[in-house]
Amino acid sequence: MIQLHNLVKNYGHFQAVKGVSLEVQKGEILGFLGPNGAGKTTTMRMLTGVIPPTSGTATIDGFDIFDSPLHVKQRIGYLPETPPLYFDFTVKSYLEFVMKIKQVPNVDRKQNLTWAIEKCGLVDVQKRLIGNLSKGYKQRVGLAGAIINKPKVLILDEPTVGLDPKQIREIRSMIQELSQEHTIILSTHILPEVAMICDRAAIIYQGKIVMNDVIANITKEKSLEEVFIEIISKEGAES
Amino acid sequence: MKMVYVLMQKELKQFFISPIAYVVMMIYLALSGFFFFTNMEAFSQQYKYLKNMMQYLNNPDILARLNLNEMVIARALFNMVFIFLFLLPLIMMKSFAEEQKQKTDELLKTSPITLNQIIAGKYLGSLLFVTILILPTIAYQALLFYYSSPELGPVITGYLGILLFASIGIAIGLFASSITENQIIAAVITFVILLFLFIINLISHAQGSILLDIITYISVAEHLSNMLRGVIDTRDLIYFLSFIIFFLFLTKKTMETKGWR
Repeated sequence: MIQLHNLVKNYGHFQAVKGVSLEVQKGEILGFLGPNGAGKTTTMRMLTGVIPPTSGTATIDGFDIFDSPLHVKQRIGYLPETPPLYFDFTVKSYLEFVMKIKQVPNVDRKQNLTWAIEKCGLVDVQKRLIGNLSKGYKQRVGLAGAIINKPKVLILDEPTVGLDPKQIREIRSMIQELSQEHTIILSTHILPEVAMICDRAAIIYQGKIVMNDVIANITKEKSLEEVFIEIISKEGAES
Repeated sequence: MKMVYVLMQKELKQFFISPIAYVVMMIYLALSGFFFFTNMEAFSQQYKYLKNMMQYLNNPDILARLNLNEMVIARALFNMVFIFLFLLPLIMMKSFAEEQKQKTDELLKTSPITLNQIIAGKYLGSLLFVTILILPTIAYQALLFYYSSPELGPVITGYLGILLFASIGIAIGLFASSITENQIIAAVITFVILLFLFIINLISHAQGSILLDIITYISVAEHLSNMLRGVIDTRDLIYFLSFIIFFLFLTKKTMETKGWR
């Protein structure tokens, strides 16, 4: 479903991502892990077309991100680190706008809107201005915007940040539910979360993928957290 | 086309959702009303003076020298352009700058729309807002038509001139707000470029060469004065269109270097 071939991103002389190759199968949830500044967000932004890669390429559902960006963008839902919200819109009018620019067919709009609003627990706030909502609610509006066109591929950059424990649990079960029809890449710092909901985990460190395996294999002997710390301190000592 | 319409709608909505639209509208109407009044007042003073002169000299031709179109309408319309010089930077400073600051550009970038559609949507949305802004000033002209009989032609071309000037300003504003996420910087850049187009003909009196022709050509006032007099010259239209296209092109190139496609 998702293939990344040797993606590289340079910022001037600094190489943020040094050749990332990954593959995610249909219906899989990939946990994308790594310490701060490892290149998680940069990789996701390249994949979604926010920034162009310096070299390398990626395909989503068989469409190349360079050759047919519009086809790719029709198939993805992306929740960036900062949810892209228009603060002076109400929740409902924002989501309606998102549906329009994501070209959700007219007949599906009403249904998709109710579905996303219910899924993300926004029923009570749908008529309020986004700018007046708390951080957790803003995050949920962002998430609703990402899933509203029912994309084949969902790319979530730290979706549970700023949410309370109950909401985190709700979002988790929602992600698991979505994975039946969608392919999901999820970046997070909460390792138990990955162990709980992901099928596969990839750890990126200093712009390189240092581990990519099925969760069951990784956690055979040690917990995910131990593996993560071990890899990062080992790689850190080498470089 | 449908996407351009959706984006235009969103742009227009953003103007009217925030207090900016209403503040700008109030300032615009108050100032243009004031200028209309002062021009009208000057005209009526002169009318009274010339009427006395006519009786005194017994020469009815004197009053024919007064022209409502030239002395009131053309001046008031030019003053409306002048107000835009200050207001357009304020109207346009949000546009791309705010999207970049609030990170909402990531939503647009990851949606199945092209950069051309985004630019066209923003451009047309702003143009529509400016049109709505100047629409109420027609009431001032209507007053003149009610009490007198000025020529209609120059009024129409005059309004067209205002819209064309605003179109240049909008294109410059889009460009300025695409290069920075700081709204103040965007406003200042727009203002400086517009001011430059406005005042460059001040030095033209000092020269007498090819430079003079170039400067006269660049100056927006020269092209506007034709339209305010009721003359539509294709050269003027080409001038306005070429500036609009030039700055939209620059906007597109700036956005492309920032990874928009």
